Amino acid sequence: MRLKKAFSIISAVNIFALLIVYQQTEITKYGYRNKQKEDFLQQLADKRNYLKYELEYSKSLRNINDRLFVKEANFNLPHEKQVVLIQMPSQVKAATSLVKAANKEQTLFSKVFFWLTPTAEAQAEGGE
Amino acid sequence: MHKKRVARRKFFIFFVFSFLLASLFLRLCYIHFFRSSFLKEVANKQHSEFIEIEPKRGAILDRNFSPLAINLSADSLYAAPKEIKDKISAARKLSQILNLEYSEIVRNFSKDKSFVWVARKLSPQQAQTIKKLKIEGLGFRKESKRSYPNGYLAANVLGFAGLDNQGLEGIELFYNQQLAGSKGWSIFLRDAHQRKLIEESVLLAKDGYSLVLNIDEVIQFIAETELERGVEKFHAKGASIIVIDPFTGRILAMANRPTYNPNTFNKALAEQRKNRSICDFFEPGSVFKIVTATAALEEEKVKETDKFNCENGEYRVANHILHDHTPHGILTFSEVISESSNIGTTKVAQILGPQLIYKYIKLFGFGDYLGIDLRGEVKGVTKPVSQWSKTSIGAVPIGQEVCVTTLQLASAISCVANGGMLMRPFIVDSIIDENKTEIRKNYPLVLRQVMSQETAGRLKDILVKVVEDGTGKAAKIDSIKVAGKTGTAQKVEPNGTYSHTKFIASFIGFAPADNPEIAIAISFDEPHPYYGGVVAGPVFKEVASQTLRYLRKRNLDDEVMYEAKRITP
Repeated sequence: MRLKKAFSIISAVNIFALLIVYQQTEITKYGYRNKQKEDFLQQLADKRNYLKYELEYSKSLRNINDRLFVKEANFNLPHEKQVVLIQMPSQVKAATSLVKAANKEQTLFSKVFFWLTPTAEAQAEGGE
Repeated sequence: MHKKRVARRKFFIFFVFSFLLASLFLRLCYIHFFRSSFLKEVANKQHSEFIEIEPKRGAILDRNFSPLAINLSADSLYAAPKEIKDKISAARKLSQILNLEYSEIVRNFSKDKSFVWVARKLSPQQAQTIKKLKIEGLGFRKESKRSYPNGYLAANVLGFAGLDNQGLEGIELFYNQQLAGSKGWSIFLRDAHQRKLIEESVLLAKDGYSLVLNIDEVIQFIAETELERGVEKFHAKGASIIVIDPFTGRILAMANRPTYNPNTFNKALAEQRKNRSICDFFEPGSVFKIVTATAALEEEKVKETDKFNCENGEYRVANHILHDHTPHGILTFSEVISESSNIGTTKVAQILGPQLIYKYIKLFGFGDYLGIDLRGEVKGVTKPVSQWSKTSIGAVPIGQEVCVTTLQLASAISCVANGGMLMRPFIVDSIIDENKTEIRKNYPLVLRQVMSQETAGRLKDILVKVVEDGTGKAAKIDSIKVAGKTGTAQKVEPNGTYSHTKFIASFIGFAPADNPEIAIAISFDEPHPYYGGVVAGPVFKEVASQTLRYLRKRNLDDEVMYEAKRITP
């Protein structure tokens, strides 16, 4: 009886001790995993910063100036009265060609029976 | 008998074990009560590591929030000399990659230390190349490296931060406390290989604040490009330019030549690093005549139409003969300034007297600090009236025997542009935190009223004539009225005489004259040719016209979009 009691107490203590050890190993394992993730995130953050720097460097006026040899080209800010023609996006081009097609001279047939022949209505989509 | 022997043996064994147990127990008590703190310390040293957390240095941004100075993470290479097997081969490879002296690396490897720096803050390419070599005994540590993506742009204003991320010059130095932040610390658990595991406790670092400057990257670029062109074209030894908002004192651009790349500040000479706009003074010559003109108009001693005999280019003042660059006969006061007659100006000064001249010199801020937020500002040199000689009345009013900085000239012309107020020039607009919340804002400060608005208006009209009809024609801009003054000043030789070959050519002005948006001061050191109107005038024209177009372009965006919609089929 006494032996049984002693045995169960010792077992309980051992199990408890093992649980603690297991907990510590898990903590250490998660510690390593976290460290790895931290290092990886830090690498990404560093890369991001470096790319940001490269971006700023590439778009810096000084860099553009050096690369385009501005001294010879004599680039200058545009005068305020210069008109700039903006290239139309492809959807707008397609839409405007439809409008042109619709605006072509109608046949007598279509003029008389306009209610039978629907005119093409171009709708330009999208903004500027 | 036998029983007694057994009992004695039992007792002996019991005694031995009891003794051992008691010893263990005593030893335990000794360790627990007397050695615990020491052993705890040893264990902590083994298991834990205390590290300082470096704060992130604040960024420096231009007024449009474009970054001018940022931080990058960089690998710094260290060595554990005892762990390097083939020191000679390692040193040879590293010297090629890092461009360092082979002997220096070998010396480092021979030190009786467990840790030596080999090179700090390497480029990513260098670090990658060294990592590929997989040399035992070498390691990398991450450090923060200050980087300037625009290179030499505004280098003299920004300054630079050293290896330990402490500001050493310019804005980096002046605002170092705000930029630096404060260090934190962390206690880590580490494993048997000294790798960090779990953070036990931490005090986070307080990152530095960022600065938003009044400097505009585009205007700075325009100023630097045109200044560079001027220096090359006229073979000048040096030059400086300041573009300032005359109503607020905000410095929109400040550039010098020679200059340097702050990314490689250790290779720059002192001559390249100094900000000559604020720390070089020189005799200004004819640009200084605005002081005399202001005094004459404000004190109502002279009117624009008053006539002065310019003695056909030669006039005696005490024992000195004063000359004009072009001989003139009778000129009105307005023409005296627009044609920059030294004789006419001296005669005006003689009417005013030394006391009044000196009063206005001090009112304009010459001979005093203006209080710009940069280190190294110099006061210049002005002589009190008690130290004037008999010839000084023919020298000081025309910009001789007085030394000024380009910054003081920029502030002086701003005074005329804004209706007579001397504004404190300043570089930094605000200090912000990482969430862009303003921590501190710098506001324009009026130092004093130098002249009345009426006098400023009258002087402005005279300065417009300088550009329209006078010596400043090269600064004229199509369809924009410009007011300005040219200056051509002889430099002083080491023997104390004025040189006939070395000059300072300058131009100060503002535009548009009726509603000034910018004021500019430019000076060239030893250009060829040397006339202010010929050398500095065209540079002013280019900088002013491009800057005004840029400033107006912001408002034109909507207009251009409308035009584009209207004309597309």
